[in-house]
Amino acid sequence: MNVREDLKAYVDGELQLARRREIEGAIAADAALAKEVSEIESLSRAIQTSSAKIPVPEMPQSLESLASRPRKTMSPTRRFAWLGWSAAAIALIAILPKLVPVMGQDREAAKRATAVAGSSADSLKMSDATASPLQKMAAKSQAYTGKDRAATGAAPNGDSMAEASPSVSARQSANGPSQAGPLGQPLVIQSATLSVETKNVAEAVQSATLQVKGLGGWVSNLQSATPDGQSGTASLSVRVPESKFNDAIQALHALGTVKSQSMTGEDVTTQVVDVEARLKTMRIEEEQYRTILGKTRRLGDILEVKDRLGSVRQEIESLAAQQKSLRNQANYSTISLTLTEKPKAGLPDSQGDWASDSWSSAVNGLQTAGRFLGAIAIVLFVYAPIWIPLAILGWLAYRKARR
Amino acid sequence: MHAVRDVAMSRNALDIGTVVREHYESVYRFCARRVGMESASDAVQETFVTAHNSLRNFRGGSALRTWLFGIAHNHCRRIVRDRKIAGPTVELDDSVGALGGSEDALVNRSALKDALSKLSPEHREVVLLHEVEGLSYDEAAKVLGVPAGTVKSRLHHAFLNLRKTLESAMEPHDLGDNR
Repeated sequence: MNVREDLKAYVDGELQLARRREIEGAIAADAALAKEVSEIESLSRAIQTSSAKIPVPEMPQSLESLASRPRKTMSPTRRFAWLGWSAAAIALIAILPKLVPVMGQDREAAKRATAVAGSSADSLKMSDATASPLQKMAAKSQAYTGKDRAATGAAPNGDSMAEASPSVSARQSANGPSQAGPLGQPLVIQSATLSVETKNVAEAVQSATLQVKGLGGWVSNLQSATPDGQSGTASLSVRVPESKFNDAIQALHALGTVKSQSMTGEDVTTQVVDVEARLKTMRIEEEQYRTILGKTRRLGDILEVKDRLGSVRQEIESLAAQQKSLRNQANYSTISLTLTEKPKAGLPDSQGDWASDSWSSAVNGLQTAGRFLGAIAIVLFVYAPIWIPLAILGWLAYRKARR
Repeated sequence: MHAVRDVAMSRNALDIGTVVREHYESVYRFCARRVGMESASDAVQETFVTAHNSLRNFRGGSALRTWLFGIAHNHCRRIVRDRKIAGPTVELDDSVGALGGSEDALVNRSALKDALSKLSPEHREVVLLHEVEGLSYDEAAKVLGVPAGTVKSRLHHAFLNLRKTLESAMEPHDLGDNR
C-alpha cells in the first residue's frame, strides 16, 4: 500500500507495529514525507483545539423522568423462556416426520429380474370337434352339388370330402423329441440364473452387454440401482443363441465371483410338434372351407362357411404365434444375471473383526444422524410457511406483553 | 447456568437512569453537530428512548458511549433526511487564538472553516467522529457501521482534500507577499 495513504493513520497511532516501523523508515528517508506528516499533525491539532464547544441545555423533563424510571428487570426464568420455546419447537419438528410421512421410504434394493425361462405353453389337445361340422358341410355340399349336377349337368369337380376329418397322422407319427429340430435335434429351452459379485457394477453391466452382443445376443431387460452409501446392484436378462449358451455363461462368469448359479433345460419338442401338427391340420381345414365356399350357392351356407373359416383362421394365427414363441425360446436361451458390488468401506462387513465392525457401525450411525438432520432441515423448510408466521406472531405478542 | 445468570443479572443493573445522566452531554453535542441546535433535543430524546428499549441487547462489545453514538447517528440521519438539514458541520470556535505556531503552518481559521465546509458529508462525518469526538478508528467504524479500513481511507482523503484546499487558499497570499 502507498505510504502516503497511511500517514494520517500513522499520526493517529492507528497502525500495526510492523507497518508503523515501515512508515517511520520511509519518513526518515524522505524529507517530503516528514513535511507531510507535520502538516497532518498541525491540521489535526487545529481542528481539535478550535472546534466550537457546544453549550448543552438542561436535561428536559421527559429525559429526567426517563432517567428516574426504574428499569424493569427480567427474571432469569422469563429471560430464558425463549430456550424452552425453542426446545419445544425443535421437539415438535422432530416428531412431525413421524406423524406426516413426507420423506420417502427407504427404497428396496434393486429389483431382481425374474427369470423369463420356462415355457408356459400348454399342451395342446387335439380334438375332432371341427371334423363333425365340416363333415356336415361336406355332406350338404355334396347333396347340393349332386342336385345341381342333376339340374345343370355340370361335372363334379371331384373333390372328395372323405378326407375332411382332420388328420392327426402327423401328430401321431411324431415319436419323441428327436424329430422337431431343423436337423432332427430336440428343441430345448435353455435358461440360467446367475449371481455374480463384482468390483464395479456399472463396468460389469457394460462388459456383459458387449460380451452378449459379441455372441449374437442382446440384453432384453436391465434394472440397476445404486442406493446412497450402499453397494450397487443390477439385474439383467439376456438372450443369446442357444448354440452360444455355454460361451455366454463362461463370459459372464468372468465378470467376478459367481455367488450362485442354476440352469434349466426344458424340452419343448413335443409341444412344438403338437403345435405344428395342429397348425398343419388347421391350414388344411382352412383350404377345404375355401373350397366349399367356392362351391356353395346358398346364402345360408355361405355365411356359415365364412363363420367357420374365420374361427379356423383365428386358431391358425394363435397356433402360429405359439410355434414362433416356442421356437424363439428354444433358439435363444435366456440368462438372468444379477450383479452385486463388493461391500464398500464403511459398510458392515459380517466377517470383519470387532474394530472394523465398530468403525463401520459408527460411520453408519453418523450417516444416519446426518440423514436425520437433513430430514429435519427439509421438514423445516417445507413447513416454513406455517411455523414462521406463527413464530413471528408469538414474538410480537410477547414483546407487546412485555411493554 | 449460574454463570450465565450472573452476567444477565449484572447487565440488568445497567439502568437507563445511569446511562442518561452520564452520557447526556456527549450525546447532545454529538446530535447538535449533525442536526443543529434546534433539532438536537429531539434527536437526543429519541436516542435515549431507543437506548432504554434496547439496553438489554447491549452485549458490551463496544464502549457504551460508542453504542449510544451509533443510535444517535441513525436518528440524526433520519432527521437530516426528513427535515432536509444540511448535515454534519464542524464548527470552529472564533474565540480561540491563532492556529498553529510554526512558520510552515498553513492553518488559517477561516480557511479551515471554508475547507471543512467543502468536504463531502462522509468525510466531514469521520473528521467529526475522530478529531472532534475523539473516537478511535474502530469506534468510529462501529458508529457508522462500516469497516475500520473505510474510516481510515475516508480520513486520509478528508485530510488530503483539506490540505489541498488550504494550500490553494494560501497561494494568492504568498504571491501577494512576494511582490
